[in-house]
Amino acid sequence: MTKILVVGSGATGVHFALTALQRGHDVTMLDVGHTKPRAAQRIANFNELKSDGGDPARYFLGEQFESVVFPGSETDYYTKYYGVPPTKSYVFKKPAAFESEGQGFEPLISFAQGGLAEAWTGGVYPLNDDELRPFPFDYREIGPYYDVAAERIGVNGEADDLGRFYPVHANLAAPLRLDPHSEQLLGQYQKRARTLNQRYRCYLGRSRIATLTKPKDGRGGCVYCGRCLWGCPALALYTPSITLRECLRYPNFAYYPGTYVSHFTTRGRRVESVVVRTSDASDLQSIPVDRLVLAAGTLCSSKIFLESMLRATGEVVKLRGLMDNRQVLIPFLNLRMIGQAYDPESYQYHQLALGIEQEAKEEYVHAQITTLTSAMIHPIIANVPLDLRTSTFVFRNVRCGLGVVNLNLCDRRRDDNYVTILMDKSRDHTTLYMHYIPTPCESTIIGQAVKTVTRVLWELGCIVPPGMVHIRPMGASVHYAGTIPMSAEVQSLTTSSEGQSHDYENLYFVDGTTLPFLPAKNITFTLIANAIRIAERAF
Amino acid sequence: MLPDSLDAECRVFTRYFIGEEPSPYVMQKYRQAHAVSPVLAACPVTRFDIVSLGLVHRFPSLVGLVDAYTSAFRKQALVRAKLILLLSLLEVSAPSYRHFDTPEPCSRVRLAALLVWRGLLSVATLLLAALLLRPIDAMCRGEATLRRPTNTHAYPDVKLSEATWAMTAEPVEELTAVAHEPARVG
Repeated sequence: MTKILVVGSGATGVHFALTALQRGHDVTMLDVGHTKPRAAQRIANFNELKSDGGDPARYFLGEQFESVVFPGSETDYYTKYYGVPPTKSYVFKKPAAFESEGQGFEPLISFAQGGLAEAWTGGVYPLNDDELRPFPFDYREIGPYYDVAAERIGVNGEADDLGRFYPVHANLAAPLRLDPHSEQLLGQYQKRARTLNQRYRCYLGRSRIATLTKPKDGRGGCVYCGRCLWGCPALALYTPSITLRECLRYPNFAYYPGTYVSHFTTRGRRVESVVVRTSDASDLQSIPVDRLVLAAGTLCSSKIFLESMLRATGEVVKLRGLMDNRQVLIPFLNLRMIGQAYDPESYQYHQLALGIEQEAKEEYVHAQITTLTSAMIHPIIANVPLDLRTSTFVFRNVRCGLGVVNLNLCDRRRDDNYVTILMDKSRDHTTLYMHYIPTPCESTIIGQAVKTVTRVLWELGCIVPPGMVHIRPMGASVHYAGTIPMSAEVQSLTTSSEGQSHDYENLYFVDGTTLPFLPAKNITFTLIANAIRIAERAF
Repeated sequence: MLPDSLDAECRVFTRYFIGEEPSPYVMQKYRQAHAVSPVLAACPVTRFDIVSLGLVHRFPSLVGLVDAYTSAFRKQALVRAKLILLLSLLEVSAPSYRHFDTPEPCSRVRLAALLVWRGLLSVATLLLAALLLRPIDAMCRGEATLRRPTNTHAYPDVKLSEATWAMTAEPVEELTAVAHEPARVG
């Protein structure tokens, strides 16, 4: 039995911890752990909440109307990326001790209980052997852990045309009921699949989603209330805080929220203690370590490591190879859906996915198709280049046909892109600094991908309004990885295939820091599976 | 005076958007937003904002022209921020949210014709708005901001909102004269 100290309660931290607990280890979890505010939990659909006599403006817009997207406020930290509702703003709240800045990289960082995946959209896509080639293991090794992860979180989907890109793992539940627009698009694809496959090497099918369709382990099945973004009242949409609650049932688990880990101290090649700042004490405190597992997310784990290296060696290190998926948003209008009424009793997030095959198979382009169901619509209306009243008229008549394709491109580790820390001698803490330069050929790749998607959408009866394609800044996808990669060779600033640091023998990384390559697919499912794999193999 | 005047503004905007009177809930929330929203409190107030809000208060039928003009040329104007605030309140409140959900009950051909007609009408409104408001805007440009933005994370400053209202309530004739005076900081 080992005593394990885990930093962070995100998707990797809680799944690592749960496996370690099941194996009989003592686990202590340190976490800043901002908590979810109380919100309407009763099962009611999006529109019922507006008319039930409560205070809908408070629920949808916030106490201080912080979710109203005023002109110019789109540059605000939250609205720039998601237009995060009041119930989710805690996910991006930062402690005072943490500072970051970047060049060419604008990250989202979470210190919430459950981490960034508390605000995710539930896309789960296992990697295939082409994508795992740069990893020190293949699908045969990680496959069983995808099965375990799927069983724990609840994944629905289908073995369809996209099976050529996503291996079909065990514990895949039948898919959710499609909303009318997604159903129409899938029907159109099925009629024209052969042309689209041959001409564009494009395939379309059901998304794999971490949402229960039937009740399981105290969680309800999806009730199609359209409130995924606001926080699923049935807990059907998986978030890591659900697994944290499961960990808390184990007597060999101790959880310390309100604890910000600054760095660790070392003696020779071993970590001796972690140094923390707690919310109820201003002084730093030291906690002895047997084995330390960093699961704070790529950027925060990197910062803890960098700060520790600085204190141990006096050297400011650069962790090279920072990766993130470039995301491109392609809004579209399905002409066949114009004038139809929208159904508020729909699943809110993406239900369809799209894949475009490339010459190099690991460079597969992945996209999620989100049809507009329930959503705050004033930001959309304000972006239509007409007066607000006409925009409202146009919007309500085309609403049912609106959607967006969220295109993701893969990324590779390059020396140009790194994280490091900046020191300010007048203060007692450091600033995390991220530097990112895209590859020179990126714009060509984006252009080709956008052209392909636009043509595919046209074949499906949709148009892409000119000038509306939006290339999101690096950092927006929240798929950060690659700063301390797994390596078969033993060298500094890398880990073993089990996430064990090659610099400190009792230090492990179980989050995205260790990925040697970032495929276009959302990585959370792979990170969960890998964290379970490490807990089983190394502990 | 402040709540009554904000109520009048809320009524004008609601009639403009949905052709109905606002519910008491929407009016209460509109007032509350002006008191507590840090973003609204931090909105810089320019001469143009004073003139455009003054126009809307004195001549409610001109709200369409002000909306068209600010949508095209003054996207960050205070009046547009207020219109967007009201849109957000209408879309989350019953029964007004239905105005954002329900398409016209007509055939697709008729709907297409309606969309084209409304588009043309919108362009015509914009042209008229430009004719009327462009000279006023030109006069206002170059004038200093009357209230500079405060820190957006600061605690809501109700006094600033009152000051905003005090300025917007001034008659248009007086405002035109004020526009040539040295800038005041509210």
